[in-house]
Amino acid sequence: MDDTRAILENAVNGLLMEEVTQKLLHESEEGAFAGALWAKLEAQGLIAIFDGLENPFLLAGAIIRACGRQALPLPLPETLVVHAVLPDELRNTLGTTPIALAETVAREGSSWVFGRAAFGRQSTNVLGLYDGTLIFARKAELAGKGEAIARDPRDTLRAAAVETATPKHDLTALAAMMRASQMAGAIERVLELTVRYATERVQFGKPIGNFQAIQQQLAILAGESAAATRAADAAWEEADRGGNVRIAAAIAKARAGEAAGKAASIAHQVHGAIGFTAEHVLHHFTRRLWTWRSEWGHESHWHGELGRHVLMLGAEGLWPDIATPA
Amino acid sequence: MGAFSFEPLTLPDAAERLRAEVRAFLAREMAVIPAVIRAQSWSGSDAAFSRKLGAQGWLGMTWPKKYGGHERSMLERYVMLEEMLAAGAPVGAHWIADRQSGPLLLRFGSEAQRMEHLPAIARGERFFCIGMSEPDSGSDLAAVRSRAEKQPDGSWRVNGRKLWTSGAHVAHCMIALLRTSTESKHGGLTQFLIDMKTPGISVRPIRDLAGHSHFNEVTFDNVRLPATAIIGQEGQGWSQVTAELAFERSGPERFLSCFRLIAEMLRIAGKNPGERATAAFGRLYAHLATLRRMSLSVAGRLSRGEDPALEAAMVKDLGALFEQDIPQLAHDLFGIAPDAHGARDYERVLAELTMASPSFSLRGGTREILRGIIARGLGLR
Repeated sequence: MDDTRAILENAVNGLLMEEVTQKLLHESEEGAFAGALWAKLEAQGLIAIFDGLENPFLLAGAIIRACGRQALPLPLPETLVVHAVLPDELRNTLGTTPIALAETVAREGSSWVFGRAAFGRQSTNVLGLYDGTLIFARKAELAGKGEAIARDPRDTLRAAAVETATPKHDLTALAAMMRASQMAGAIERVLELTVRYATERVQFGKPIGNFQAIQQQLAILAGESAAATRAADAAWEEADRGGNVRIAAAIAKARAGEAAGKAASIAHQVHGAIGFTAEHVLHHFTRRLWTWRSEWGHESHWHGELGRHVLMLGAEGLWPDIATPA
Repeated sequence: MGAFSFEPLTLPDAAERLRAEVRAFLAREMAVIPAVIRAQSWSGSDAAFSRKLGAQGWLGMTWPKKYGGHERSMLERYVMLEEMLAAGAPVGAHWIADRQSGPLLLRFGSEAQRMEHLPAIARGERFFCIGMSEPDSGSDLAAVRSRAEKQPDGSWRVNGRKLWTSGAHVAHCMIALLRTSTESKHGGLTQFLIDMKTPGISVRPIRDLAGHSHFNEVTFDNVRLPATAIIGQEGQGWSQVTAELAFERSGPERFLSCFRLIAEMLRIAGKNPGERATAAFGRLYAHLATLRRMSLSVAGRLSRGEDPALEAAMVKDLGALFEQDIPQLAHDLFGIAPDAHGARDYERVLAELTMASPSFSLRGGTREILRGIIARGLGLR
């Protein structure tokens, strides 16, 4: 099981490392759609994984973390989450087309408005949640452009005709796990970039990584990276086991979100002025970290949900809950 | 892919079955133990309790049967430990012998040393302390100055002082790191197994800031040791100690030291303590659950015979930060003064752990030393 994840993760990382160049990131952030790359992802079989594969959530988590490592400016994570929650008969009609995922859904007269739809302008298909029901539109129109500081599209879409369905899984939880895994991947990359910079940049006659003050900061960053990755991966493992996904998702999003803030801060401090420039690659990751940690519930939101869980468990119930077979 | 990895671990069924046994035992034994004693957990010493664990077969769990062990898996031992710590069982008396000294003797000890000590440790009847730190040798452990000089008859004469020796006042034996040569800083060190009743050894308790005397100063004044007191090889003390410290850095004791305070905080909070406290408990839960998963991952690798020293250092560093956050959080949320003689368990437990908390990032390798190890693992030194 772990081997499958490792092999797949290596394959995705290999492909994305080659394809997601800084040039592609710049062009995508200026509004271009990386259609050729989407076709390669399709050809690698990375999209239709909820179609009979064993442990699909584990694979989804690994793919999504790899997307975060490369700051992939395409809705592969969103499309995987949509595939996971849609009933089979609906999902089977979609093939491997990119699908936008909206954070809010509202009714306006006879039409449906999808808010903060990730990669909305790059897809006519959009999914959101309204009152516990999935609302899916095949022919949504772009009603307004937006983008968070990630500079990935967060658009408003409007549709007259929609299909509704009961979610197979908790969409909010899976979407939170998606952002958690993207953050875990991006933090891993930020750690790599920062360690490399510290070994290359020379001041006072030696690499700055020789200074204990820098070493201690990088050790903290490494710890945050490890915690974010373990928390995020654990949620997908829980989903394949059929366990308490909601709680695992809350842990993942809250812990990775906290790590994201600390990681971005340390990485920029160590990089100094060069890391603050548009020319340097670091900001493609840190801007996304600052975006993803707010989406699908920020830390306090999920802390609140977890806190109510803890209070219900009480002093005697907490340990048995923590030690429940994982 | 990176310098470190934390793979998932699912505990085997045998470990989960053992958990139920341990909980039943703790339900019987812990009811009479006061909350403030439970808060001390692995700092608290109770020889009778240690003997009970020995009778249960829960000491020396993983050791060969010929040495009084029980040949259980490392993951079964992990589950037993985490249940003890979460309950705040007084496991301090045998803690060092079971965790560190026994495994060290198994690995480097002579057959005679093993036969003499391991069965007694597994019965919960023989306690050990570790003589590493000295007045001028703390984080810089290789600066050890206490001397063992070889005598013409092959015996050794020891002079010097060990400091911060936890449990020396209850231990039957010490494993001491002593200088046997001044020619090389690291190469001149040797480990000795010392009977604490040997003439010339004096133990002076050192009161800590909480008023406890868990640790001590141990003075050696012309102490004569037989040639057989050497553990492993003369001059190999440094590499043996390094291996020993790995046993010390990865276990559940590295994030559960304040678990009893969390329990008392929940009692004080009740069911509806308001939004801020609720979120604070939620954050604590997210950290605790993640730390346990990381610690389990390290346990899994240890049980497969790997050496995850970097990951163990990371768990200990994050774990100590988490443990130290808890008394701080308790203060922030409730504003009730810690009081060792307070009327409520909460006040007494908070007093105990507020005063204990500075030690969490000192014992077993300071925060700065651990982060140096992590930086080395990242390729920075």
